[in-house]
Amino acid sequence: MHTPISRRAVLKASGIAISLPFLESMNSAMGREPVAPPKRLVLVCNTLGLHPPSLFPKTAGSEYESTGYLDLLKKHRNDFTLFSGLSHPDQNGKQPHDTEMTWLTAARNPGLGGFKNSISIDQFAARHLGNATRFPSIVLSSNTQKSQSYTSNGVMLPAQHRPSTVFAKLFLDDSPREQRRQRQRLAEGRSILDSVAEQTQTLRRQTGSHDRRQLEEYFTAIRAAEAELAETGAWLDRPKPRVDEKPPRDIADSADLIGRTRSLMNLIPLMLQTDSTRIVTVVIQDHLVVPRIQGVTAEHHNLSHHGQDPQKIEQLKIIETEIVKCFADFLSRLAQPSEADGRLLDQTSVLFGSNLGNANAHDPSNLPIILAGGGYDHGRHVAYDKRNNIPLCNLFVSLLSKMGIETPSFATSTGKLTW
Amino acid sequence: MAQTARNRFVCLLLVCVGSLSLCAPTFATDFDALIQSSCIECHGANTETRLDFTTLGKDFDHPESFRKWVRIFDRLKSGEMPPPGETQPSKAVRLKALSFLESELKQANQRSQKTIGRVPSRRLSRMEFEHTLHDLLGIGGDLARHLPPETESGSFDVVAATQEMSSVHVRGLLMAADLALDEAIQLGSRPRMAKREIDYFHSRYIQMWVDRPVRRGGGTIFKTDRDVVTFRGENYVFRSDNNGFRPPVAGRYRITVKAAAHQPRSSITVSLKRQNDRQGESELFAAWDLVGSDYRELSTATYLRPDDYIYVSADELEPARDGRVIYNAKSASTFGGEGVKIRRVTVEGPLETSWPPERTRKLFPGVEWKASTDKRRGRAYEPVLRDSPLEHARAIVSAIAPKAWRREVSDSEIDALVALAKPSLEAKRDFVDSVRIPLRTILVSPGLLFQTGKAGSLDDRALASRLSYFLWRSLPDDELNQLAAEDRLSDHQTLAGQVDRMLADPKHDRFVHEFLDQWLELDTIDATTPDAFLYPEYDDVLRRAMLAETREFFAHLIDKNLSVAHLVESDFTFLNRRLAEHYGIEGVEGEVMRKVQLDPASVRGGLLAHASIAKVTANGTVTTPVKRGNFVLTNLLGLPPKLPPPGVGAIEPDTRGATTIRETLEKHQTLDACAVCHRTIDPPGFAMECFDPVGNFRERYRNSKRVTRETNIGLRFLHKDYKLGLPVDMSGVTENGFEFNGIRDYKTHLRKSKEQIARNVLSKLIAFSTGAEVQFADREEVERILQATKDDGYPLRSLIHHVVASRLFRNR
Repeated sequence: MHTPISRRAVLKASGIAISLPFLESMNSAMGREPVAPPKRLVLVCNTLGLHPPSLFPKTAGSEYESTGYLDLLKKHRNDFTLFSGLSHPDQNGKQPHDTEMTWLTAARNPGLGGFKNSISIDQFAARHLGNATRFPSIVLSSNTQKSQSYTSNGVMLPAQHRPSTVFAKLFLDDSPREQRRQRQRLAEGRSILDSVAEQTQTLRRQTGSHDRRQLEEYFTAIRAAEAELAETGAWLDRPKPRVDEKPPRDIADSADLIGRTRSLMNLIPLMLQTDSTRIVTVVIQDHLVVPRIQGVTAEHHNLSHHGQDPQKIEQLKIIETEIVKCFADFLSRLAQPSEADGRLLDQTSVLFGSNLGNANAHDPSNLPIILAGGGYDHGRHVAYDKRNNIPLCNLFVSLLSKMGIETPSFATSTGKLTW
Repeated sequence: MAQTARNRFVCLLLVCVGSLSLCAPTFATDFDALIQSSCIECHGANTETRLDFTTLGKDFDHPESFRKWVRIFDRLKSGEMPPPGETQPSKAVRLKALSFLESELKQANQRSQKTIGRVPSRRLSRMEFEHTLHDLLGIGGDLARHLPPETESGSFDVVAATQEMSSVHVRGLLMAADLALDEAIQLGSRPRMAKREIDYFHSRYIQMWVDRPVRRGGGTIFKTDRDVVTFRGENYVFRSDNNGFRPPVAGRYRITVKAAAHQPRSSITVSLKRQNDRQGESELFAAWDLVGSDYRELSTATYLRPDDYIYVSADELEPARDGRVIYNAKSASTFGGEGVKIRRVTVEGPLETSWPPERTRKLFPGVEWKASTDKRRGRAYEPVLRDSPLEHARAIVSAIAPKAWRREVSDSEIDALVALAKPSLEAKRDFVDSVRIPLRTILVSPGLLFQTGKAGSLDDRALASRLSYFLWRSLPDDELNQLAAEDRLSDHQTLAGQVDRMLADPKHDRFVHEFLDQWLELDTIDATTPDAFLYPEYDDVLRRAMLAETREFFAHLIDKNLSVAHLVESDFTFLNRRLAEHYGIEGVEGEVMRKVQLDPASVRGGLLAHASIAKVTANGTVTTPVKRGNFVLTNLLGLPPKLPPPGVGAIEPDTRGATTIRETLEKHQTLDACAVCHRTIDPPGFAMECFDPVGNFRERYRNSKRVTRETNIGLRFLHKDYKLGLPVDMSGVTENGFEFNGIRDYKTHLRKSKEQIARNVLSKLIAFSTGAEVQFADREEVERILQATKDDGYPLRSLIHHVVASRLFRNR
């Protein structure tokens, strides 16, 4: 996949200390015709759902009557579409929260005997975009290493949850000594992998033909890692983009869900503006603690099982309101004019939602799905049949297409969603 | 070919002609009748069920159709199919069909085991990889975290069929190997190893917090004439790095604490916690009881890395009698609550006898070290080489490769490894850096990562490896390697002797931990946290004791070769003072776990009464009989219930106190669609309702009093917010009509399933030790072992011995 923006252009420009907006500067610095800005994809999941009556309006279309949560997004009303009636089929899993593993993959029956996950939409896209950016994708989570991003053979990519580390990786250059050391290690790494690949080949020849799956996987994995190291090496020689923001401080308190989420999400516009990556996933999930929000006295998970207890629903709504506000503020930042020809938001498809439609009953159908930005025609509540859901993957196919990745299908899709 | 085929045909013909009854059984003669009479109506071409006999392949050698036929066999045998109300086959038809299918499936499975092997090549799990590098290099840091978590596949992480590999693994392995070598090769200047003090009393950092008022975050500690007194756990003011101590290098350190209880009214715990720059949460690694007001001097050794820091923590503290906590006290020195007086904390280490340390010397056999004049690389030592660097590189590689790869390594393989150091040596780069390249290669090579080999019986080296990864989760040691090299390990007596030796070695703790972590899901103990106001007694100290109970109990069953029946009901368990208090058992003093004889009337005894099991089967702050019942069926009995039909919501827990979980579950009993499964699933959970989420015995539920809660962290353990609510109904009726009232009754019922529990434990041991679940053709072997151990009540050590001696373990 070739993107309209030339890598060299980005890199040259990234050596100059510039303040945002970034691409604008780049175009002027290069003194040539503006290049079309790249398309981006951001996928944000709140794993404990969103209280449906507080989110979904009773009416569909562009004249929909706003709800509590949608009020928080009022400012962006024409920048997003709310979908109802989308979900992944066959999500009965081993544990009721196993759908967390499949929100971006749509693999069936998660966690059940012999379960194997499949590639997630972000990794599918990252694979197509290749190494156009320093990081093919960035995988974030508010609290743990658990992510929703999976490789094609179902291996989870560990999520980063410390904003300080993410910031350092993206924007802070290592000392020359550390750089030398890294370069040396990379070169070594490649010769090591070469040797290991050869050993694996020998072993494959020695074992029975029926018994090669794991060794073959290892061989493929080594080759993929070699290619990744080569790319990392190529980027090592290029200075990282500099930004005006100060490195964020990590929040150690795992109960400060909102603070942690916010400081991670604050980094995303920077990543996109500097074209450090074009694909970002975020998991918002506390570690089943009582979130440190005024007025909340019970665990998030417990509250999601409110059993229609009005007091619990009230508290749940306090948490979810804060989360939706995070999202709203994130949209505001993306909506600031920054790129040569407009707003970052228009180049960025932002999907915000959950793997649970009704967390109270662990129901994985009728998922809350909000699509913002990306240059779509927005402003509507698009309601599909509640009893007969449309596969969420149909929307995934549209998102991929928007990224310039034309695929006839993705996982359980039955077509491309248009609305 | 043609000749043989014709001969076979002739033979067959002769037999058939000779006597009809001797005719080889075929699908048509032995199975089709059953299908036509009892199955096809629901499982035909145009039926709604997922099974369609008209298109189902009859080639038993095909893995997919084999799997389906095994399911058919099992359902037919258990009588589940054909379902009641449908046309039932005659006994003769059924038996004939079953025996035909059994023999066909067994033969097909045996054919595949003979040609492909029972277990495909498998890789080491991330924990096995970590243990392997620890043992190989003599290090101790956390390496597993660099590898992606294992796939959740409903089985052990060593089961080959569900393992995955990706470039994420490869990069993680490279990183972990690099860090492991960093830890193994210590050439910095000799650290100060002698005992030194973390001098809290004279620390300026501590003084700053002593002087600072409460409203500015201080005031939680004060000084007497000799002690620093603290009133809260996890007090960051005691961080060792801010008080003069960071481990200079990775290694083992001995930490000694002298402390006493301050104003004690009950038992108080003083503990040591470790934290580092990477992980947010602290890890408790030692805890001791302080009783009365005497000072205790306590000591522990632990592995620390340079980015770790430690701190002394005070736990189980009661507030002042007037209910005040330290945060609303006037001053720390006049505060009336419980605290801990810290007199003296010392650190000794790294505990090395020489420098560079033994592990570095071992890694470079034949190399001497001398003090270096060139300090540029942060090194204080440089190698003294007698031979050419390449010769030395060869010696180093040849020493470690066979150990790491658990096999002989050929000269050409050694050549290839040495060649990796060559360009670097020729470029006159540093010797140690150059040799690191082949060393790192060895650590990520398939020889280390995979358990592989040809189908058929394991040779001695492979046997040593499988045994060692079973009981130690790591490489064979010298003795095992020696026996294997002399081809003596496969001798039955020798092998049994080695099993006993290995079970006596402290490394078998890894087996106990990792087997139980996965089998009983103890590794999910932190997946949910109970509400700190409803369950203020739950803390790290208790959590640690809970896990220790289950592990020590299981280890004891192995150690003393006791019956699996103890898993259900036992007249002893393992407790320390903290856990005994939690259980309301008197007379257990001190922090050391020990065997405690239980009162005959006690509800404790057996796994289901362990607080750890109550905790992992709870849902945060609430419990649900469904989850616990499912745990008993799936994990203890090995008879997992079927999935709920699509679209069925989960039950709604309710802590308002108006209804109990039993009332919420009423539907399970009244709606047929639910009851068909839930009358089996729920009853064990009903019996376990007597244990709250942290394993307290309860007769009434705890309900929130709805006091205003402050969200200040660190305060919680001092606040209680509950009153007793509705009574717990712990009675029920099992699927087969056994009425019980409470866990003790239920345990007497469950004991009748001793054989099934033994079958489950045995199957788990087989999967865990060989890397493949019990297959169709293995069932005979399982039943044979059960028969052989029946009279002794299926004792655990015997089961392990039988597994190791079995065909399944001895063959690939």
